[in-house]
Amino acid sequence: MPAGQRLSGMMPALERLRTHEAARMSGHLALSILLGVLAGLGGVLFHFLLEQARMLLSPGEFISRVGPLWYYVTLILVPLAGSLVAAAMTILAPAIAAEKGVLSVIKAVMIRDGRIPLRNTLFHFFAPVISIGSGAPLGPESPSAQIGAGIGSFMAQVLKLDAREMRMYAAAGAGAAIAAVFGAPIAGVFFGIEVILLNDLKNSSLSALVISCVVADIVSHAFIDESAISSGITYSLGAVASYPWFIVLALVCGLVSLLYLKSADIGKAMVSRLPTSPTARVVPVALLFGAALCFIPEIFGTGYMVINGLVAGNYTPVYAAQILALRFVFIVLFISVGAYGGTFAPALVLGSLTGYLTAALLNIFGIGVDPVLYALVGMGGLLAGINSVPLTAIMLVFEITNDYRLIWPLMFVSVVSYLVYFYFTKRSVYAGDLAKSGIDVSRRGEADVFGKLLVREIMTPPCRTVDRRANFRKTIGELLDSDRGEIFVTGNRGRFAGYCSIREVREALRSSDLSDLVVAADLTVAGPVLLPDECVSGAVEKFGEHDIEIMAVVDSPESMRPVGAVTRKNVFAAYRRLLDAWEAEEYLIRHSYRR
Amino acid sequence: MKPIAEYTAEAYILEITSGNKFEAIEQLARVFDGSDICSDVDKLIAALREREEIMSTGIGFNIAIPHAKIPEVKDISFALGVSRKGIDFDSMDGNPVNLVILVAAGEKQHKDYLSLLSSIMAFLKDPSVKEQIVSSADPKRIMEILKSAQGV
Repeated sequence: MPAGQRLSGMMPALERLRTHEAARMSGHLALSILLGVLAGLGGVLFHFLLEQARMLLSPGEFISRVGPLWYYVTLILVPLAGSLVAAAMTILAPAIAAEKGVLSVIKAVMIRDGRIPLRNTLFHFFAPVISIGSGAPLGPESPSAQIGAGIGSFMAQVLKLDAREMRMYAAAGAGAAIAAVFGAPIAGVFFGIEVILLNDLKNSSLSALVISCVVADIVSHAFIDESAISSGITYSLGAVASYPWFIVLALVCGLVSLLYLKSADIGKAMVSRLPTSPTARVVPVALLFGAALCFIPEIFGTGYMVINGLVAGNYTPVYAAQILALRFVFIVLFISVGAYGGTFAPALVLGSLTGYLTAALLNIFGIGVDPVLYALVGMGGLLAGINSVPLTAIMLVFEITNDYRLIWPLMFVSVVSYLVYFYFTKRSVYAGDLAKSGIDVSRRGEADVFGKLLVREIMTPPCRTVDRRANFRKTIGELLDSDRGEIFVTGNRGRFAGYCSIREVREALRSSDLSDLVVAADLTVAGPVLLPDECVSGAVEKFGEHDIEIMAVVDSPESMRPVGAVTRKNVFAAYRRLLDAWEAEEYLIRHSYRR
Repeated sequence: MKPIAEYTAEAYILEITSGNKFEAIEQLARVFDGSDICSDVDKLIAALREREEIMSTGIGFNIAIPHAKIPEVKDISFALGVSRKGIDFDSMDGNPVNLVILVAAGEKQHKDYLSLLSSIMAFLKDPSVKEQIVSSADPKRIMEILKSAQGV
């Protein structure tokens, strides 16, 4: 058939494709706007409930009017009661409670196709209101991200969208809720990119993320008319000669971030030695916190009032240092015992105090820097360090202060603080937490195709297995009967012990002399294993490092029982499937752009 | 595969005094103490014991070939021990053992490990070779016997 005739025969199909693409794009735009509205409303409602709790229970508000005795009694009882209710929720729904924090959103987007059950979203809507509302010095951003992601996921589930779209709207919803809670749409976008998408700028969620963040911010401004941070803050950037001192502030912020990381690890280790009951863990922390509140009421709740107090010049350096120390300790303790809340707002508060005190210290030596300026810039420094989000930190502080003069010191201090943290830890805080769950994102850029594919999705049932005590004849019999030329060898309690392959035992097969001397253990070669929730990129890396054809998949690093196998062939087949799917998607996108 | 004599040395040949198989294994493994062969002889002994507990390496005909593979062994080697009074090794034929050849290999020397075990088994197939080794107390003489088995 001539080429012209062939082309004209394809035209109706191309026309249908164009119409389909136009509908797809319009639908995507509409859903992104709808998600922005819903996530914005979710964020507003969450913010409203937190504000009501703050106005009712915080030391400077309603309870200050109840008389001196009841004031102190209430200060001790409120955090205790809130912590007990939150602990009861943990006991009643331990599995949902465990899906806490931004990390659970990242995992849902990365490995669960963005699927977040509605009950999880509802649970993590109310639990933080109780924790933070009753005084825990934690922030609303982590729960907001969960709420937004949950709304995006629920919307996709109701509309029966596919897995790719569900991931996309879950990620976009997380950013949109952050945009709504902080009134910061650009920070919402960067939060989505840096935290939820782990810096994957090629991700197809980007357009949905930007649109829903903008819409969520508009919705938020329709209901929330004031920023958490006071407007019209006065400060001086100082003389050019004083600018190099920002290096000191950046280094201090980086080191305080590292101190926080180490303290959090120590806190978790200490708590793991306490009784496992959530109630038994929170009671001592809540009582200590209540006692501390009687002396320093500024440690109550999210703590924006501290930032406002600092920039208004209400605190002496000594008092600011006391607030910093107590807030730091109680943030670590509350997070360790399982309170509900995030570390963005706490990092902003700690950062403002760190900046303020750094300036005060420098001024003792006659440097002459503005403590208010350092407090504002310090917010970005500690947020970037503690949460490994330099771009989000810059944009968030810029947007909540709405002051362009701050931008360059903010950029400098945030990035240097992050680099200090990264220099010592070698990976971001979220990459570190994911690694603890067996998910390695350190080479994500290199193995992007396999970054979202899990070992469990490509593994086959375990191959033939022999006990390491099996005699030579039985072992060789199993090996010869295996259709892969390899078998797994297990030890005590079925623990994986290694591999036995025809290639390795060829010598033994050639000689019948060994039949009375060797057992399966002698024919076993140690080798790497995989976990079901590990990314396939991890399997590719291990295949590259070891000359083996098959790898065992074990249930957990502790029990090491084989539950499956992955062969090089499995990996190549998965790669081919992914490329096919990817190419089909790219074709549609390219085609719609050419129009 | 090198001739088997190149996997040992006179310093690794001795007369075993104990009649207990685990003590005999420990005595023989200790010849690697301070050598470049194995950086952790205690671990080698533990691995040999563990292997022995799975199934006796007493293959009968008064011979035992305890063996283990651990990362701490740098060069695959064997030590040779002769026992005049015999060792109870839970051998397949129930007879006491007079000749113990202890093979230590590195984790990544799997193919050489099986080849060496196979060569030792072939070498000992001739009963007169075993008799000559057991009747000779001199490491120098035993090395000569091992070297005479060039083809193996």
